[in-house]
Amino acid sequence: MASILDNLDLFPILPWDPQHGWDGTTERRHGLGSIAACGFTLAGFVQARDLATCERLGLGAIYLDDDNPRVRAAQWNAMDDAAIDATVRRWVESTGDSPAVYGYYLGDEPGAHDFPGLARAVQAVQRHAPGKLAYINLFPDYATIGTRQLAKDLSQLQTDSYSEYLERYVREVRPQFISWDNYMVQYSQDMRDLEPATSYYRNLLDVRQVALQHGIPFWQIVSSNQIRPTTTIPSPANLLLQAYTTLAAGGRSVGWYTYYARGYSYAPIDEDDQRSATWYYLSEVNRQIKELGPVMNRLTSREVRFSHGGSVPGLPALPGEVVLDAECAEPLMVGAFADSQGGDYAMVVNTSLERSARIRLRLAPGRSVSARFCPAAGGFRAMEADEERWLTAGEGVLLRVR
Amino acid sequence: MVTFDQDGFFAVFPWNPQRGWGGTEQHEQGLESIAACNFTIGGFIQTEDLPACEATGMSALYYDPVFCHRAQPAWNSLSQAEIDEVIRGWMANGGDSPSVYGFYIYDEPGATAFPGLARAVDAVRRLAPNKLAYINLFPNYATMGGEDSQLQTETYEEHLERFVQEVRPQVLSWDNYMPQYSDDGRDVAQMTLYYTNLVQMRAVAQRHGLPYWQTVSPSRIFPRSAVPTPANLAFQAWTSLAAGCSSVAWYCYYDHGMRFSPVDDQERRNLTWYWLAEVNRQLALVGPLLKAMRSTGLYFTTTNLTEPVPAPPEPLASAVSAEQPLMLGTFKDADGACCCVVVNLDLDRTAKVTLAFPRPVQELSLTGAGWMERDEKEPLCLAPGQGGVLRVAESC
Repeated sequence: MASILDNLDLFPILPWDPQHGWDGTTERRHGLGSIAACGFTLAGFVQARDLATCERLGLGAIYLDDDNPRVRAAQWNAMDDAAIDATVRRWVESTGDSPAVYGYYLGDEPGAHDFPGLARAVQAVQRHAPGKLAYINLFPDYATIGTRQLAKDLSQLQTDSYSEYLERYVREVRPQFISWDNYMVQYSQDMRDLEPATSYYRNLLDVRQVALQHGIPFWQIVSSNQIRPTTTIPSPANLLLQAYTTLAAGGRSVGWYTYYARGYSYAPIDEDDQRSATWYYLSEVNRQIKELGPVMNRLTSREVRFSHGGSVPGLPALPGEVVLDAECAEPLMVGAFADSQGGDYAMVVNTSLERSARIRLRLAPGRSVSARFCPAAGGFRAMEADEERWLTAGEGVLLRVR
Repeated sequence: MVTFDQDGFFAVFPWNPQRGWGGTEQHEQGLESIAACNFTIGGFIQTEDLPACEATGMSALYYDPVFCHRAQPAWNSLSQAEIDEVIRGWMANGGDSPSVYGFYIYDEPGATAFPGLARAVDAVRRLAPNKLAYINLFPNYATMGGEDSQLQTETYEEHLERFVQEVRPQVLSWDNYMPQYSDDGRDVAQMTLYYTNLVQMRAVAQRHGLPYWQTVSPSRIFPRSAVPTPANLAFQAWTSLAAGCSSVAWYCYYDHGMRFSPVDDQERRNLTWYWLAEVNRQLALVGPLLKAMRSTGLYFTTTNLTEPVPAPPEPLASAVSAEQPLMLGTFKDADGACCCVVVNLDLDRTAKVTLAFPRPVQELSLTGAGWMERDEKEPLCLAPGQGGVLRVAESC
């Protein structure tokens, strides 16, 4: 049975919200139709009654237990195999043969102690819903760390390092993909505070490395709200940056936390259940990802480099295999990709959240940029040798290299 | 369809002749595309475009490529009777359509052109009531002094005053592209010219009881200038709104060799198109509301400019503060309620605006939900170039 992750025409863009709240009772004025209009390709975590609407709107969906919408990553350890089987079978019966079902929600941000139960739950999903996704989202690298007795109750990861957390997760849970959330673009005040800004890129590269090593895709959850009252708000620039850096690293999905306010200001749908300006910014960013996604799905990520060592210290610097150097006043992220015929591509992202970047790339000898992908019109457009390339703050572009 | 003097309508238009100045071009991204980009006026159109205007429900400005001879027709060489014949001809040739909002008359006249323009405006007033005689003026950085200059007056103020007194226009329209020339405000002297132009035009227009329309740019206006961004598009729109402008025009919609325009040289929408559509949506939402009010003040919290601009008086100055520079436009509606448009003038950084009004403040939803109550303790956060509208008092 082919995995749903093999559907290369669908690039998952996910609102990280339970459609009916974690108690399953909330009804939204801006429901699934609004989510589709905002350019998402997956609905968030839906219940059986939503599936017909998802089908009609062409949305995939992650199913959230109708009977127990407060599914917790920790719950699986307490269940024996029979109970886990019964639960997953019930989910599969509830969702029937709906083509909208992309996967099943198993939990969010597990500690390492939760891995054994999650492993059994993942196996159950694979047994009873072959090809569908067992959805688990991991902690970011700024979660608390530690295994010593003193830290036992305080440690979120329950490992000694984030790398250990990721490695153990992959080895013990055997997931189909790695998903994690990171809101450091907001916490860093639009990347002005260096330490949290570093976490954003470090986390992205760490997950990428582990995922590639184990041959599984990775999905990043980023933020579309003012994550804390003191942090920055969503802007066209920081929404673009979060989306394009995920793509440039080779990420196979972008999730937005959150679509609904749920106590967060400046979310796409506000506390009064109205669209906010963020909704319109996000719909344009999602539109671009939706155009690019199926192209990115068909490319293999080869490396990630940063010009001038990147906007934060310690990132892998150019030269890369395809792009040797960049003449640009602003810091750039360069993701190198290859297609199945061996064709080369580079996704270049302006990582400045303040200024437009005029870019001039120096490529390996004999190489030149032949085309760029136009997320406005769709498709690649041939580029002239002297054609100027500009990227607005946070924006990215996919280039085809001859 | 709307008429020039219709209340509750805010003109947002692409500053382009739909068929080029010569009248023969064809655009794949035509009036339907312009309507989809949330413009409310279709730009400069010809008789053959009227069916498309009707189909999209957009009004437009009538343009005669033969008479107008690439945008600057020789009105001075015509007598009043001859000009009357031109206008009658336009009316007979489709200009009387309800889709026609007005007539393109001239772009960037020097003062020596004023007598002919006065006759043209007079003819439109008499022969095409409720329609606009559209003339667009130079910005304040045009050359001045002597007949060889662009303005053909000694100062910009003299140019504006003479235009009003001699031409007797229905609106004051001008263009200013200093946000682009200044590289998104990094050249302070150039950016100052953008602000002072707004202040100058507003003062003259208000003194003479005229509406004022600003033309700004969604293109990279010349090779070394800033490219259009979500921030600088929002900035141009919101500063126009805060100043009390009754219209915003975008020069230009099509490429015309400038690159990064909403429609590229291959007649395809580019990313500018999508960001402009969102800014136009906000203009179309907020514009009519502000147009129905009286602009009572235009202030700047920044002192980092090369010429003086009005600073907010107390108590407004203490009530609205931020680390970033702000523009504050104050308004009074027909019921006496006071509003304040707050614009983040920083094109790089989000502003957290602290509000300390003595009474509860409402904020206008930018999605059509009307006035929303604000939590007084919450700062008003504005992305670069973005604006917001506050209702600060029921009466003032």
